[in-house]
Amino acid sequence: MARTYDLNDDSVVVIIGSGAGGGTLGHELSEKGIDVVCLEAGPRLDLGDIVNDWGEMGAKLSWNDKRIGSGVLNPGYPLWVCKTVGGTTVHWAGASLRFQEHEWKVRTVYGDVPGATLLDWPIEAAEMDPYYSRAEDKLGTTGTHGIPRLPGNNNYKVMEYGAKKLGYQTVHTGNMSINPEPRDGRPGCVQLGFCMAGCAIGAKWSVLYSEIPKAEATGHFELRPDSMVVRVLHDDSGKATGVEYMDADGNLQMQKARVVAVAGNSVETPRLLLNSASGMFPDGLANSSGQVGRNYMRHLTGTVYAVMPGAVHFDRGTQMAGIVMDEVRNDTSRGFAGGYLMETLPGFGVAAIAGNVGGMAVDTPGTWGRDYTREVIENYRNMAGMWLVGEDMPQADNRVTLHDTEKDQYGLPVPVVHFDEHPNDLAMRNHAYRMGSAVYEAAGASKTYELPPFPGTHNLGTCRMSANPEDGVCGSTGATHDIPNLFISDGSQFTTGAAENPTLTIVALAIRQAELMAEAMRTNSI
Amino acid sequence: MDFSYLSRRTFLQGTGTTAAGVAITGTLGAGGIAVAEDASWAFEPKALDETTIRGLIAMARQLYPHDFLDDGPYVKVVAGLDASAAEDADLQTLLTDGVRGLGVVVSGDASHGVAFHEQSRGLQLRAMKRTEADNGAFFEAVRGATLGGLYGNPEVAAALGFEGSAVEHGGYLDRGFDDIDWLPQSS
Repeated sequence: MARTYDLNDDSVVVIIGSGAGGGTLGHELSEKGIDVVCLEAGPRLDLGDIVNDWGEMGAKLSWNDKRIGSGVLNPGYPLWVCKTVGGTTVHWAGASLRFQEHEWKVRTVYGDVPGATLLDWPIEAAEMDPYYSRAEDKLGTTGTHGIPRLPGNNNYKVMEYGAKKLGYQTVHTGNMSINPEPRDGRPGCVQLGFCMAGCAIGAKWSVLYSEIPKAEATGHFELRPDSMVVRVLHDDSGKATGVEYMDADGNLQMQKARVVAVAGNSVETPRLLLNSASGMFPDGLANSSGQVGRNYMRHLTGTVYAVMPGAVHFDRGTQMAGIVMDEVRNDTSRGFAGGYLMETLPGFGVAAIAGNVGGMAVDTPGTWGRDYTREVIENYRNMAGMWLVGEDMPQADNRVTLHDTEKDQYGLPVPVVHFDEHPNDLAMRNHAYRMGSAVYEAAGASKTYELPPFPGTHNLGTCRMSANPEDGVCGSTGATHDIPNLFISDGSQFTTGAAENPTLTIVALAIRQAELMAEAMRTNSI
Repeated sequence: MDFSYLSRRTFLQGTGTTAAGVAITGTLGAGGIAVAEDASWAFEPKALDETTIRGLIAMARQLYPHDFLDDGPYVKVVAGLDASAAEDADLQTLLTDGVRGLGVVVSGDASHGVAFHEQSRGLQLRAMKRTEADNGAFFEAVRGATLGGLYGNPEVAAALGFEGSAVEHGGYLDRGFDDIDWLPQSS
């Protein structure tokens, strides 16, 4: 049964955040008999709270605390992540792709790309293979471990037809952590759509109902929802000793810890380290390199919607229903380093399409009026859509900092997220738009719309792994270079972003980190 | 009371003449395409005056016109704006002043007052384009509310092809998730 721990129990591992990184790490540690207190800023929902309604679930799941975007980001809403138990695994689409081998060492493969702060990961690709395999088994990823792929929906069939007509070869319904048949206590997918509003039947893997209950069943895991960590504490020797957090009633609490693991997604993780500055660490914890908050990546993204000659009903069924993988290779003859994927994605309802196509694409008859409703909105049922996702270049000045004066409801400085694009990002998106539009034109599209990135959902790299302590925040285990019992356990630790949707890699790294952390605890090195 | 702004498909009935007591109700007339089982609608204005309400209804339709829609869904959008304005004095002022601004017809160097809801379609579009440039706060407030309210209306969304919540129907596994029939078979 779920147990509880005393605030003064300094034997526990405190994990901050219950998403793909933190929730997985907590479950894995608890299975090894290590006691875990997991502090999650958001509330704990159950399946009954998940409904097929974009507006309602957007309000229930999203991290809506004030953040400021600058550069090319939406100033009021720079990124779209979750404040809820399970974190972004509640709203993720389920795409579960391994990095390609070269993506673990892009500094070596791509060379010196001007303006980019590329590094090789301090992990070999081959070392990750068994962890990827365990992650795929845990998540129930289609196309692995004998699990069949999902059937393709209409939106997929349009993309598949156009892609094959163009000559693309690697086109299928993806590696998805959505059950085609019942498995591991979760039912099979019934093609609801609304994956990214949360799967209302739990066919999609999520930490919320997959990892947390199992962790609690070990008797070594306590989840405290509605608990916003405001500071990581340390002693005079520079070791982490616990955390301060605001509990559900708004009272400040202090939980002692033997180890602290931070997994708050790529804005909150560096923000917490910066907010934990002390006399001993005036620039924030684990920040002797000055790298905390830097090298923020969000993947190269873009969207293509197309008006097809007949009905598509792209809301029906799995949202990320299929993938074209031919452009994911590194082939600099295309004019850029790295690669990208095409993944189907519908439009989140009529209101979103009606606003976004006019508001974000250029080639429309304005944003309102009769020509607009006839050309765009009244073609809703005939629309197909894909999302383009590829590797973006890390840059030192793309970073999370603290606002000088603005505070949030916890009294903490509001994070400022700055992002500007690298020339490589623009060259890749240009190619991706051209090929994505070509796919739909090959399938008979009468019109295509290119939309720039939505607020980032893949947020990476703000406390990156590096072999050299001067280049990053944590080493190959995720332990910070400066504080050996303080770990980075989410996508913040990504040295570079690769092209693939990041959750599978975050989970694989968490499984690996749990092993390495347990070993370090067993040998009393932390 | 002047009902001349109404489309011929729609019947509005106004009662009451006190400042806060304008009741606006309607039912679907012959020739309209019903997008709901019960296409009647009504609301008691809480904050906005009648000219403002009629102007906003006309503006909502000009923003996102659909020939298959009766005025009902547009009235619902404006009822939502009215309810918000009852809680927000700044919004009430923004909307009232904004519609008053739309009720100006510029001709050469002269300006003439013609209530927005009584203007011809072409004059309305002129006034809206002018307002979009000159009073973006008002224009975007109404446009945003119309986008969300009109297309967030399940009957309207369904008429456009968005089928809404699927979980209570068992999803689309047996209801056409892969029923596309116009695409040639890929090789």
